[in-house]
Amino acid sequence: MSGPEEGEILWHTGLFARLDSSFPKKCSNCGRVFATAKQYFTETEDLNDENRGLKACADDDTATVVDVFRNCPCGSTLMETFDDYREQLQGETARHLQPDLDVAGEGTDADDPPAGRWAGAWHEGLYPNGRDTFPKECRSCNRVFATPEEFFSNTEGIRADQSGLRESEDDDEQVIVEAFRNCQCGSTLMDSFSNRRDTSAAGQARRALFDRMLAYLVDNGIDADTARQELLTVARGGDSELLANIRPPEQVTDNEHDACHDGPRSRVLLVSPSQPNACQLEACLAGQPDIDFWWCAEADQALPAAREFRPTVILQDLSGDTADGLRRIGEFRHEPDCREVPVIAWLGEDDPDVRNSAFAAGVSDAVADRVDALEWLSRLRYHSAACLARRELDEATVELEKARDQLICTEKMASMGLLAAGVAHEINNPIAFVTSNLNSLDGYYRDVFSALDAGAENDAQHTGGEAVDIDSMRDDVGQILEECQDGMSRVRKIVDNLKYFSRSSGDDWRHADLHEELDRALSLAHNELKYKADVKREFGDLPTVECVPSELTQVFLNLLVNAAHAIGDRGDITITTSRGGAPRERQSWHAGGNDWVHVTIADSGAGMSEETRSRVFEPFFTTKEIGKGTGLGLSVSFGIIQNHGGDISVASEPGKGSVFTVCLPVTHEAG
Amino acid sequence: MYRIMIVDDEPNILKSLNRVLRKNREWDIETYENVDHALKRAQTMTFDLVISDYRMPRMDGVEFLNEVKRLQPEAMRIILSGVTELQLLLVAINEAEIFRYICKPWDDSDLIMTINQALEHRRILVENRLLADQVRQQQQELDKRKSALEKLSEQHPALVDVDWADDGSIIVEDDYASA
Repeated sequence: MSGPEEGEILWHTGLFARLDSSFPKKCSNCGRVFATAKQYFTETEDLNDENRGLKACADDDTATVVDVFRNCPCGSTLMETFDDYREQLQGETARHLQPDLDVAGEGTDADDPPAGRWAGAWHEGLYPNGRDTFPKECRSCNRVFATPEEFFSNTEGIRADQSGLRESEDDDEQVIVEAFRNCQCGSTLMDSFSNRRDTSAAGQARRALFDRMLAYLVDNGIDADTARQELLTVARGGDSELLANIRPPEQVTDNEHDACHDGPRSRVLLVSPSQPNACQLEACLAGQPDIDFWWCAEADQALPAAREFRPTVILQDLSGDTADGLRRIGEFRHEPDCREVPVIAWLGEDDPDVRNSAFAAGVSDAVADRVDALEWLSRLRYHSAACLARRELDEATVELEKARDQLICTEKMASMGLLAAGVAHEINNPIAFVTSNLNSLDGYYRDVFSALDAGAENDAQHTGGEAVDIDSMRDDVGQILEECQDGMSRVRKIVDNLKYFSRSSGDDWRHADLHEELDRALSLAHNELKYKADVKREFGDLPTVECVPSELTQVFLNLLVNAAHAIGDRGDITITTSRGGAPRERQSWHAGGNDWVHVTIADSGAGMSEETRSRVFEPFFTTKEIGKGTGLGLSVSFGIIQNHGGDISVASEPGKGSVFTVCLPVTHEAG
Repeated sequence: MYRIMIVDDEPNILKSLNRVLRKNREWDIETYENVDHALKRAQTMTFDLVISDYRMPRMDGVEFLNEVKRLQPEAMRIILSGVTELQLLLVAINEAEIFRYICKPWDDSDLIMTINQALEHRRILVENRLLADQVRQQQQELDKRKSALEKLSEQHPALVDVDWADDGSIIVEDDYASA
């Protein structure tokens, strides 16, 4: 607690060295070294008695700094600038940090009475209101109470039944408690205490300040317990050598600022070598809680600054080196991180040429030199809002795309599930005959080798006897190997197709041969089709089509499986591909030509009624029995074709079958 | 010698089955890729055992074996298929009354054992039927003789109802004697 040299130590608590390099400090006259700020303050003398050599001045940002002029013992005057956190640390935290420490279980130090007696006592949470309160002296008997604990435990309430407490509010609405206590000599002593049971917003804010400072100290490598003890000491008005050289976290005030402003923030990045310009703009933006300002003076730091700061609007100064500024605008336009961020050109003189070349370089706006604050704010907010809205839109689009991909993937998995039984059959067949053939081969091999062994032993004696039929065996072995290879390549093809089809994402737009995709779909659906229908492939001459190939495979697979399901006993499925013009509905704005591809899949199945036909592309609409269809196939196919800029349509007649037509533009942009 | 018919739309399956089964000299194997050809053959030739795939074009295994059952009720029926759906299995057992359902891929020795069992089963069935026929034939013979005897006794009761004396002499009643 406060010692005899109280005033001497305390006046500089809360002054922090501005730069890491400030200490150790050396007197340029005598070479004396001051290792720490504390040493500096204690070993030098005041320049004059009144203000101890301090000269407060406001720095360019809002923090207050103090210039300290001190005399070295050699007589030379030293000057150093300090950050001034005295008020924060001593004024506010001295009174209010200590409760937080006690809440955290740090309430007792060496001077405190044992915790058991102190904890939960009626006066728990009462702290001296000012630094000067303790030690306290009874004016009547001169008894000294060194600490509040001592005061409360060695005095009595003014009446036996009460503690002598009276709550009242002080001028800044802080709840305080006045304690009236009788000294052992009988004289009544009064003191006011702050009430730490205070849960007001201000109290919480101070607690948060303490937490942040603690976290900051821990981040700087100071042991948590030590940091807490040191903060406690400072909070109680003591001095801490440890903290003397540590700067408090810079964002303290900004964070509180953030917390009280919820709206989207504009982030303005000024790229300008001119300090006057920066000051002018900053003055305009001062006091706007929704605008963050960052000034980048070094031209070559502009891109890194933009990446780090993520501005919502960039202000490029063109008043100085115009060519360099224009080059920078080009850089911003090509940088993926800030391609979408609006750039405002800040013209020195309103030169139409510069203005034009700025717009040619891709700026969104240009302002001339003399612009008043209101116009600055309005323009900056307008462009920021546009940028924020675009970002929001981009995010929504990404979300939407993700949902679409998920839907496609889900449908794909569902149709895979429906195909699974057939595919298993398709794979089991080759496995079955290959396995069996290998067994037969094994038998041959044994026969041949035992014959060889017998031949070696008995030489010519038994050659005419029970000879193995080598010739037929030789033919058969050749066949077996051929069949096995055929079987395995079939399995590989099926697995390849499955793999290709089930790949959920990562397949991108590229030029693909639709016939390949149709063959893939045919191969996947082979088992569904071969027992139901004769598939006729009437493939025309197709150019490659720009598409997402696996998605088109999915569409074709859906159409083929549907066609197979529509066929009752046995029928035909005809796949026709051709090159042609745009579908009729699009011809009005897309002039015919030869840049579309048409794929029709016709079946001779049951066909559909008009009512069914009009609903086939609706999600969850299905005419199949449970377990045969999800009702998603055609709706997802519709979505995929739409996304390709194409068209899917259906013609059908009950009893005669259905014809699905898919039209796709050859290049994606054409759609 | 047993005649075995195997039907599968996959020629490689037929070839590999043929390799496994032809080792047994007791078995005469006939393989068919086409259901229609197989049925035509079944109309003119009896088989002891018919093995069929389930999934085939034009006609599935259950339908085919049902047809075989109609033509040759005594032929044993086995399904050999890669399809493992319970529903199909139930239909196969209940409708086509198959002897076994073997899954692809099969185990060669299991397959041979199952075929042996089927043929043995079939042999016992046929033998049972032969024996039953024999019993029935003999019974008929017996019945025929019995009825002839009854007829004779109606017409000439004295020929059938003869009273034998203890010493082996025939006792002739008075009215016969007086007649």
